[in-house]
Amino acid sequence: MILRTHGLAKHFPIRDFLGRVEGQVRALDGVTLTLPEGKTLGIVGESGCGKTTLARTLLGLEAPTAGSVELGPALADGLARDRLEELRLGDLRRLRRRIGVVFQDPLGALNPRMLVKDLVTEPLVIHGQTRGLRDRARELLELVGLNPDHLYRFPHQFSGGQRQRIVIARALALEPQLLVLDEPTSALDVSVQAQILNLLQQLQRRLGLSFLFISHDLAVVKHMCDRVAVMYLGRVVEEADAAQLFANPRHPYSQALVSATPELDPARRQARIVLEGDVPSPAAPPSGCHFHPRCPIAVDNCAVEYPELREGDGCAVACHLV
Amino acid sequence: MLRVENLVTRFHTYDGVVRALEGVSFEVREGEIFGLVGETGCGKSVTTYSTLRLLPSTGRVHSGRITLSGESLLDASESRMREVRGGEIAMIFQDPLSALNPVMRVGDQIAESVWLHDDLPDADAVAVRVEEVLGEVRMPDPAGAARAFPHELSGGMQQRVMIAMALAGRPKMLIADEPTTALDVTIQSQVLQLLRQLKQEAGLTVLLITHDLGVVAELCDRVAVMYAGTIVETAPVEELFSDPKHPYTQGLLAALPGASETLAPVPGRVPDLLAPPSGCRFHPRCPLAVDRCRAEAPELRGDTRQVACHEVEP
Ligand SMILES: Nc1ncnc2c1ncn2[C@@H]1O[C@H](COP(=O)(O)OP(=O)(O)OP(=O)(O)O)[C@@H](O)[C@H]1O
Ligand SMILES: Nc1ncnc2c1ncn2[C@@H]1O[C@H](COP(=O)(O)OP(=O)(O)OP(=O)(O)O)[C@@H](O)[C@H]1O
Ligand code: SF4
Ligand SMILES: [Mg+2]
Ligand SMILES: [Mg+2]
Repeated sequence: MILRTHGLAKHFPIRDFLGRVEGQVRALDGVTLTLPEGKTLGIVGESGCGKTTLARTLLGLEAPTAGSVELGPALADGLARDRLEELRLGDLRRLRRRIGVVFQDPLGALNPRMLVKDLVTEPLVIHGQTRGLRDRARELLELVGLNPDHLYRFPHQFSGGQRQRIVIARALALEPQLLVLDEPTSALDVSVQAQILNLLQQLQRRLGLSFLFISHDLAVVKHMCDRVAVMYLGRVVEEADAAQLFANPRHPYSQALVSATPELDPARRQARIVLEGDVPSPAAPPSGCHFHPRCPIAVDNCAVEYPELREGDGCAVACHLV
Repeated sequence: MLRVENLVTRFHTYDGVVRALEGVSFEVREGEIFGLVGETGCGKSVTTYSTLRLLPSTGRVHSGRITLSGESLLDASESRMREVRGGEIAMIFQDPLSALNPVMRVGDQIAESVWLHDDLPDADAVAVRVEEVLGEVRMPDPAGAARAFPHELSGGMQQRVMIAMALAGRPKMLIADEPTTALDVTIQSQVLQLLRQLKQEAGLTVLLITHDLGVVAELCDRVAVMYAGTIVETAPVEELFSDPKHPYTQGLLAALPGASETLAPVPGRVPDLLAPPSGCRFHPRCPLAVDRCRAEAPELRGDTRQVACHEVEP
């Protein structure tokens, strides 16, 4: 285990025009999951279900409203505490070196006026390193399959796939244990996406990294991940081995999600589970099980009582009927 | 129904001439869903803008023919084109919110399309027709939706409204440019199901533009694969996936997660259309390329299956 969350919650206040709090967006509403060491945990779910907020909270960029993040030995090594929310500033900075991140927005990620050399070594500079930056930059470019002679170029001189390699190189600058990847290939074409996914797998093998891999593309998640957590409106509804989740999803929402994913083989076009309605707003989530208004098998109790995430034979499901 | 032949479209920009389309040919048959698939910048949208004569002033159709049920669209008058757009051919776009008027009720926006293309006696008849089309797109509460403003509806509902507006003029054909790209998977699957139903029940002809091969596999009858401004392959959808012929199509499928254990990226990158490669535009990335590929552009050959490649038979 590299990291484990217990009932992690993050609520954002909604303010009216006078600045008074009139409600809460429950972006994370009690997330419990385990990230295995040296493996890839996928987080899937639709827009607004809290994937990015989860990443930001694990990185210490958002303070959780409730719940706890337990750090495994690889991350907690040498720190005073092994709970993220109890860390002091100095320890928090040390922890930040151990977790690299590739964020969703591909255009905003690279300052267009900075040279590649400065972009990839920026994290080192932030952490006070001043020497050997050029050599480290060359190493990093080589690591991600870019030409190390291109140190003195600007981001616009690279293609989309190459820019994503630069972002990954920068995330690796501080030799992290854990890489948080928030939709790392969503903005890329399939032929380029394949290059980046292959690169990530190579890096994981070579450097023994653990990945938290966020994506809404189930085919990509199936290809990349060892375990998968399915989120719906700020909660994990199912966590299981990837192979099991895709072959035999348990939670009705996971079933719908897997079923809604277009099949690549036209001969296997099948009857889809088409869910009624839309994803509700996390500012006013439905009572009981958040999924009940769209759930094809819901019973009366689903609207009343929240189903806890229950574990059993290697997977966890939050549903009264499963 | 719609036939595009040897379409060549170019943009004249400060940097030079962008050779966006170089001899694009395909045919959409009545009652089918025809897919046009390819990666970013390959010319899918330019193809539809050329067809509807909506190119910006820098863009020009240099040569080619476009016929709708036998009528040449490139020779049609501007007033005739206004009838065609929204009348015979309706369009829906990727981002529904940007295409809807934010300060106008949804029902009134649909009513505009109805007035424009339908001869109805009075406002009541129009209102009935508006609710009817909202029902056709399976809007849960058609009357309520008609009174709503666009921002009050979710992304999936907004896309339904777009489709309702498109259907209001009773078009023969719908051009849908990335209709589900901005939507979540479960909502995407609602919209795909709706398009399928409209085809089956109303016999709607659809030209579906997408970069998503999953959507193609799910929905289309026939499909054309585009690469750098050219059509490289056309096939019935099952055959495209079971037996891709063009080296680019093969590369694209091998790069797709889910197809095999290891992903095989297509080497190299998409060419700059300011200075596209000579001969076959795919030759710098092609594993089969021979000298002839550098010199001569391959023609799209074949009948039910068409391939543009010197080294592969259709
Ligand atoms: N700083 C913030 N203030 C207020 N609300 C926020 C903030 N950040 C996120 N939210 C809300 O929290 C919810 C979850 O957002 P989040 O970005 O985590 O979703 P996501 O799963 O990453 O979605 P996507 O797939 O679109 O990236 C959303 O409703 C969002 O509007
Ligand atoms: N107004 C314009 N001026 C110059 N070049 C243009 C213009 N519009 C499009 N192009 C070029 O024409 C080519 C085809 O563009 P098009 O928008 O048709 O691509 P697309 O296949 O629709 O891509 P996407 O999947 O990103 O929508 C691109 O290389 C693009 O840069
Ligand atoms: S024509 Fe030549 S370069 Fe083009 S795809 Fe065929 S073999 Fe490859
Ligand atoms: Mg996000
Ligand atoms: Mg386009």
